[in-house]
Amino acid sequence: MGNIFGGDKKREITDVDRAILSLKTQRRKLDDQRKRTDTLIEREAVVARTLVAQGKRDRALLALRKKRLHGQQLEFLDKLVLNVEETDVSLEDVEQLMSDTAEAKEYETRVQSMFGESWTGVDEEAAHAELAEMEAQLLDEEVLDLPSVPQTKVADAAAVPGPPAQVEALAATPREDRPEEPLPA
Amino acid sequence: MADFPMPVFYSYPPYFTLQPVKETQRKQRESWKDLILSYCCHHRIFIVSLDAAADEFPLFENKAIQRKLSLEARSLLLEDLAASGRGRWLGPDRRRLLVLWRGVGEWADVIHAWARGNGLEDSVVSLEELLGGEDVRGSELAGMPRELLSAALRTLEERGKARVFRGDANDDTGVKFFA
Amino acid sequence: MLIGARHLISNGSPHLQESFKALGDHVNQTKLELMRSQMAVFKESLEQFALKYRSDIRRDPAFRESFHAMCVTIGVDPLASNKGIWNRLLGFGDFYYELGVQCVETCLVLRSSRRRGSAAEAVSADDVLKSLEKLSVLGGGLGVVTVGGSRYVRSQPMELSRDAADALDFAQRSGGFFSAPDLSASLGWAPARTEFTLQQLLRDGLTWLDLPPDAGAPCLYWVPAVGMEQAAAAYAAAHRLA
Repeated sequence: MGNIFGGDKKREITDVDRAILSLKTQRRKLDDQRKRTDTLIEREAVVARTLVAQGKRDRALLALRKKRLHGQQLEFLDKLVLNVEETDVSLEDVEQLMSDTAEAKEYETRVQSMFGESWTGVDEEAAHAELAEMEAQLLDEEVLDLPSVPQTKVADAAAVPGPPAQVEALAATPREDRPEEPLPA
Repeated sequence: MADFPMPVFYSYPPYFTLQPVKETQRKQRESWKDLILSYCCHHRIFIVSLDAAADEFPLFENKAIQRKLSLEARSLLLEDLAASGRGRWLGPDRRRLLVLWRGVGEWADVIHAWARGNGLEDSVVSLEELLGGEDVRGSELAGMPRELLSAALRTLEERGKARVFRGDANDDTGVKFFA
Repeated sequence: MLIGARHLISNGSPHLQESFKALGDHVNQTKLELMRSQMAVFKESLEQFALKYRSDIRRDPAFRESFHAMCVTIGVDPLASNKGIWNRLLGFGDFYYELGVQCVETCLVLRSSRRRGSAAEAVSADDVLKSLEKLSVLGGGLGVVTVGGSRYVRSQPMELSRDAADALDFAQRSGGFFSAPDLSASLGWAPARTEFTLQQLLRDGLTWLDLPPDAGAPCLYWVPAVGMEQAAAAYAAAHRLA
């Protein structure tokens, strides 16, 4: 593969090269974002479960709404990642992807602001359903624990072991002030 | 991993005391230099830190004879590596050394061979991929620290075997390999 | 014909003298050539011998010694040159060169980690001495020194004082290492004398300093020439280490 004509003809960085690099960067960033979101979803689920065990329904619902939002973002990211993987090296496709990514970034900022405002983006029904499911699960666990079948459906708050102090404190702090590491399961 | 056979001097207590006689010290440091290089090569250790705990880098202490090299001695040994071109200091405070059990030029060859082996000639790869991508795991490039990778890529560039470039400001650094 | 020749030469004409001179030269030449061909025959026999017994010569130091003696009788030095037929036949040049180098390297104490390996050819003391003789042409104070009961290979020129020699002897008897108090006690020396001798030995590179981990314990002096592995093992045993 000798370059008999000399010069830098073969050693140029083309626009296609730059485009590929951009794609790879996007993909890496999306992957990183995906991992972070996965972690957030896990954390919110743990918080919600704990709150349900404490009988704090409203707070639990809040956590579940957040979890769903993260989940939606994850779906979106997955689609983007799929796009990046399947994409041909054609400039138009790349440009389309760029604008999609810009859209994704916009979406993200919208989601961030939403946490302080209304919940119109979240499927309320689904959030409630999940809450109910968690409560039922909790009940099942209690049924297995107690020696006799309880008469009432609602769990007696006093019978449930309290969560570690740090979990309670964590659930109570606003999202932005929380530390990064996930909660113990 | 196969055991690394230690040289005889490693069990000889005086080698862990910085010798007061200049000529003797010179021989001592020479022996240690060779040992550090071959030990790091065998275990694929890239960076030696003066602040590392004994279990992170156990070479400077031999519990079997209850001897260990003083901080001063370790510092001198790392300095010897740097002075002879077999190491590069990372950071201005001279506490972490990149050990070049393979020279930068040789690393450049290794990277290029890896690129060829993976059919990456005339292809673009990001620096992040070279640091931790799938194709790198289990290869000769595995575990290479960023500083070493950058240095080796610069050498490849000088040889015209690769080009390092940025896309726009938000992109990772890219490398294009040439045949 | 020859009887008259002398008479003819001294009394004969210049032409005749020249002819006889030419004849004389021719005879000398013939003699020389005859000798050469005889030597060639000798050499060939010797080469064949070497080739036939090649593996024995390599393997057996005693046989090798005899072979050398035979070569010397004939006036052939198989070690003379690294190249040439002998090296090809026996691979000798390299052998002795390498052995000599290994000896010198062993002297450079820190290289004592290099071993000849169990698979290497057997070596006799004679072999070692021979290779050292070869190396001595390099100068540099290479040679063999006798201290106490043992012969040591010396790789640098030095004069050993009596006290220094005695201290080394003590080192050998103590398993390769000792403290200053140990030395003083054993040889009945005043501390100053001990100190002076130890400094001398350190300066000459015959002794290395060792600071034990316990700050209260006296520092130790080690003599690598006595043998590093044994000394290290003796130390470990004495202190009941792993």
